[in-house]
Amino acid sequence: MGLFDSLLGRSKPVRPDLDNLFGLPSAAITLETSMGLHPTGTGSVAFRAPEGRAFADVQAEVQQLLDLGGGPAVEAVGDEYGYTWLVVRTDPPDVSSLVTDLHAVNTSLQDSGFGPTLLCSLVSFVDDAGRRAGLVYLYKQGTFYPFVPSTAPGTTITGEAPLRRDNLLEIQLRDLLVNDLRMEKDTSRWFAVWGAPGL
Amino acid sequence: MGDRTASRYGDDPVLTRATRRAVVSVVGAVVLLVVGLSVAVSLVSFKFGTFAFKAVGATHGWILLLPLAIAVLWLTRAIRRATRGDRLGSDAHELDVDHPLRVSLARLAALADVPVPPLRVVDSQRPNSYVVVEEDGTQTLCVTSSALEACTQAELDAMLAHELFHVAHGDARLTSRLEAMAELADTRVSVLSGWIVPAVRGLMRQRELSADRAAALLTSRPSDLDSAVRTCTRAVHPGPPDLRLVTAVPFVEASSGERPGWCTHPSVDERADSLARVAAQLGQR
Repeated sequence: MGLFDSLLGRSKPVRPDLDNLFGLPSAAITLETSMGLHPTGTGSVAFRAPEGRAFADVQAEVQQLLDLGGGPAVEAVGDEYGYTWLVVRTDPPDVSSLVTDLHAVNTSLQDSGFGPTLLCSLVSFVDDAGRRAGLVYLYKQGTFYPFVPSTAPGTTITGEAPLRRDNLLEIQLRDLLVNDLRMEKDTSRWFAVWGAPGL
Repeated sequence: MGDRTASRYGDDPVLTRATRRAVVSVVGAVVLLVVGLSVAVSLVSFKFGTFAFKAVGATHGWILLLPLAIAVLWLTRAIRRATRGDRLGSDAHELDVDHPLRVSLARLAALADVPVPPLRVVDSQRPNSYVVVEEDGTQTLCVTSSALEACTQAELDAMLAHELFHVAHGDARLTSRLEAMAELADTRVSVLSGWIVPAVRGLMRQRELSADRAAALLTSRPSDLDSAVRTCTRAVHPGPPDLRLVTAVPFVEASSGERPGWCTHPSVDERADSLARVAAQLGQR
């Protein structure tokens, strides 16, 4: 990027590689066999909805787009950071069809000009003890990282129950899945997704 | 310059034209400053060594270029000195890894596809945010403690996105270089500062408008950025300005009472106009 590009702000649009999503089914098998984590069947796509529009409108618009392409039914949920999560459910849990659905949601949003506002996609897993883990797909980087809320956060001296992540398990998952998925190397990009649907 | 249509978002012709004008006038200002400095050097050398200068100049014509070389050296030294970087004081502290502000920043960086810059909170009475170039060259994003108190999460998000633009484009470095130039003009050839300072500040104001626009598009919420600007400017009360902010592209003007053409930041109304264009563009999608 030259000086003029820098001053005039002409950064090239990112070309995301959504095909990386298709590594998820094999990653799900690895998680099942090595860690006993089963897919919950819930997946979601996060983006920033333009201001001045209600969730219902966004959901209706996206649903309309998906129906045109024969896509799945979605539900829109807002979070405290100002992002909208479009939730897709499969029952019984089926990672392959979930991935196809997530791919369809991402492509529809991308094709209708929401590409720059797309943040990530999330697929969640749970083990028999109820411990939950998520695999987050970073749309712009085309990489994955694990997000595991800690099951034993405890309380601080002032009695608050802080939100904590199980960093060690996250690192284990990264090392475990490195053959199935392109994992994000820069851990500063592993942002928390507290309260994301399915976690 | 590559493909002209390869902008990530739609174009804002008004902003592009104004930025191009500002760049041209800064380039003009650099030329003017170099000429001004060499004239100053020539005047001084003629005063003290008219005879020697003339005698040598007759046989060695190139010596007449010496003032120009000295002027260029002078300018580059001033600029290099300005880019040595700052050290953040002990009042700058880090936030907890899972603090909402850090999570927000990581998300915005993921949206913008840029590395996540370090984030510090600096104790200050004025709500503001800025980018500091540290001695090792790291660009650190700073938010003042009173901004954390005065602004809502959405407003802070907009401020972070604005600063993220400055980090991604290295504006803090650009600004400190331009300011060094303006200061050199102001102290050495003050006749010219009436042209050079407004040119430099004009480009700085354009950078702010560009950052506003990028932040509004990144967050998809122009009105959050507008209310952040208003919250921060409303709460700016008279008092000694934070000197760190002079070269650090703050979110809102660090001091008040500058002459109109000498402001480092566009007015609240000017910023609102530019944001309204973004809102209109977002509405069309």
